[in-house]
Amino acid sequence: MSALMTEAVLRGLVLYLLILLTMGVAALYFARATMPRPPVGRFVWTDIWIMVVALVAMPFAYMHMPTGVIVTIFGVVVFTVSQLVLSPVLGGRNAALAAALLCAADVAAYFAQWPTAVLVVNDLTMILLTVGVANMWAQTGMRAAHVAGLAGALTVYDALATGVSSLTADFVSRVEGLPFAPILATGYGPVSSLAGLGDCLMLAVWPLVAAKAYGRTAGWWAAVVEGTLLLGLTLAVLLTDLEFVPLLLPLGPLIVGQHLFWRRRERARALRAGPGRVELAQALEDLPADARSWVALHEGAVVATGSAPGTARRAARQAGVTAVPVVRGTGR
Amino acid sequence: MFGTAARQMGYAWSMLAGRRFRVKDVTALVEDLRATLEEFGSPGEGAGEMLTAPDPEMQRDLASRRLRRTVRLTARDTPYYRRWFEQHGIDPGSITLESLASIEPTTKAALRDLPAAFVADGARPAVLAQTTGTTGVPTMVWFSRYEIDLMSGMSALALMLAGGLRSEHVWANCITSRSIAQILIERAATMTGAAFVHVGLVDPRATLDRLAVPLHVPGKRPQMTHLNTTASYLAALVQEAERGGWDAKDFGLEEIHSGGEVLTDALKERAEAMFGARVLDSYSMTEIAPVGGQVCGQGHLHLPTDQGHVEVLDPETFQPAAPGAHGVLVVTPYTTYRDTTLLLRYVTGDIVKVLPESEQPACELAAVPATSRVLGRLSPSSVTTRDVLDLLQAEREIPLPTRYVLEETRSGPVLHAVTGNASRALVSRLEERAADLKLPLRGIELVDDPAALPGLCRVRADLREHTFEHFTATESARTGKSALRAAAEAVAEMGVR
Repeated sequence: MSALMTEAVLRGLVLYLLILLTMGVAALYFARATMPRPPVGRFVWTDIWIMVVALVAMPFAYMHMPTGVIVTIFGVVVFTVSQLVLSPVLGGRNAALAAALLCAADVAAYFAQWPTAVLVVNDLTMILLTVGVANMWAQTGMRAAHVAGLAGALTVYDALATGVSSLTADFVSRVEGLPFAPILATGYGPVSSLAGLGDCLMLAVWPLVAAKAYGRTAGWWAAVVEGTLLLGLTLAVLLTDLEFVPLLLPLGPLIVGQHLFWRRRERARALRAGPGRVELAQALEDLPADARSWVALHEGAVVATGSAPGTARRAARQAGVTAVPVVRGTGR
Repeated sequence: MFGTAARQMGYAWSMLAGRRFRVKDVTALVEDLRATLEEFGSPGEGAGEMLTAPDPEMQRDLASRRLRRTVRLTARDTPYYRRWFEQHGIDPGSITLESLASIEPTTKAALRDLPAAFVADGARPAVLAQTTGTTGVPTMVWFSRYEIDLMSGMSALALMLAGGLRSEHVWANCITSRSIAQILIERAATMTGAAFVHVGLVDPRATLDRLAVPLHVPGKRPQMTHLNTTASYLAALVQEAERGGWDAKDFGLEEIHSGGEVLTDALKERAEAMFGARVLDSYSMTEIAPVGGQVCGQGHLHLPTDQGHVEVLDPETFQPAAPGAHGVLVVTPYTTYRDTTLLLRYVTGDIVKVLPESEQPACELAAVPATSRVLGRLSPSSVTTRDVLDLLQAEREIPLPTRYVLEETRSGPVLHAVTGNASRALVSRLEERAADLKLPLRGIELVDDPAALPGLCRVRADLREHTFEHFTATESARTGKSALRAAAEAVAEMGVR
């Protein structure tokens, strides 16, 4: 195996581990920390459509923007999200300081022309950004259907932008090596090995939302499926001469499929659980008429009577029934 | 989230600019907040700031702008004030916070005599609300759909953010159906997702039965959780519940909102013990809606300044009342919230005491201006409704709701009160306590029958609605031999298990 090949394999495997690490940190953060959220509002479908429009439009816009403007926009986003994600851990002031230092380090490394430092610091910011945004989405009420919808829309976009056209490739070549470049990478240039921020976000957010919506098993399955897919793609890239793989092309349908599977399972479980409010059904059984026209029932048995609904409830309490009984008339 | 943020910005802009709100945005914001609470259980950080601007300097600036706009529009658009400004040669545009006192206070009689003169020329009246009229003929106040929708939306926001009302709650209303509060709370409570029951001011035995009845409907608590009523009707409920052998465990109440009348500490404690629920005291009035106040844990009445300008004036001279002195609440609701019946310096008739400088609030509402709690009306001998109620409601022998007449004589006021069992010992205790409280009473006369009082004693609990229910002797007496045995007999008789 040539030295170049060995380096490519190494970089590919490190990138794979970095993505797994990002997913793990996002999950740990989700379990332990609560991000500040706005006073009012939760994730709704409108947010998905706004994000899809922005995601589709922004690469085109970036291609025509001066580099300084692109870096500034990304820098503001990185600083804001980093301090938001760090504030539950470090406290507001320390989080702002840490985020500022991180951003300053990224910029300083770039101007000092230390490509390795830029790579490392930038990866750190991207991990923070992914953890932050994935948690922000999951913690502000993003539902499994929202992730599936977003994944579906991005699958189409990724297929066109990465698979069919050179938009992604052009965008990556424009931003790689710049501070705050929205890519998680283990190398730039001819031995580049990288994943886009959008891919990382979808990989990180789905296990969180799946766990929240359908339980821990669904969350673990999401992580395992994604880990396996990533490994397969990493090997495919290393063993073939593929340059850019549209990750969302297989990932999007997998997310949609998992969502449909778990949703169907939940509905089946709800059906098996039988009808609710059994106590009301029991209370509909025929009762002999009584001079006092209201009865209180608890666990299907008459526990007290009264001349009015409230007094029957009170008589049930006086009879030692602590739960709220069902009270019904006897037709008199 | 993006849509909510845009609506919040629109809401904040209206608050800051003092312009009309976009009702559609307020309604959508209520829906957003409801969805947020259903998703997360609580609002996010800084939610409280949605209800009021926290910075006092900013509040003063806003109040100044809102007041100037209110005076200008009211003087331009209402026949009553247009004539008044013309007659007095005052330019409405020159009125500021500092010169507001040059406008003559508006009496209740002026509004009652010709309500239409206070309705703006371009108004679109939709609802005619009435006051309870316990002091005479009810006063009519017109409201537009904008006002109803806006005030309902803002009440819903306040109920969710400050009141903790959630969609699983069930709100029971026992106030007069003619007031604006009835319309607003019905809409506001249902906007929050909570259920609403208009129980009405019916026989207290019927109300207790309603409050105790299990509901068993999806998404709601098994019994009514909130009760909104007046102090005198609450007193009637407490009296009937104690007499009828009811227990706090019979009810699912969590909060009781009392307003519209003087609520004493004695009644509050008795109601809390009876119903096992927190009793909250608030202040509102149909004419000055949406201006209202909340009593804090330290017993101050806090009146937010963002919905209207509130003054506390000497009841005789209408000059600002001095610290520690009695004063009447005089309110100017802002035209940001009101566009139909417009009022400047409306004399509510409700007496409060200006807090002495040594008694500045340090409570959870400290940032909101405060006075004493509402003291009711002030007699010529400077005895307030609260003075008398504090005296009488401390005695459990005196039936609720408390009925009394303060008869002014040359040698001082004589207190006539209704009691079920007048005794010399009770009179002595009352006289002793009156002396301790330094009430300038010449004497106390107890009577058995309200008809024997030397005058009328009207309370809001008297605004009774009728039902066709028939109540017999109290149920507890009939099951009292042994509740458990009675229940066992019922089971055996019916053969149901």
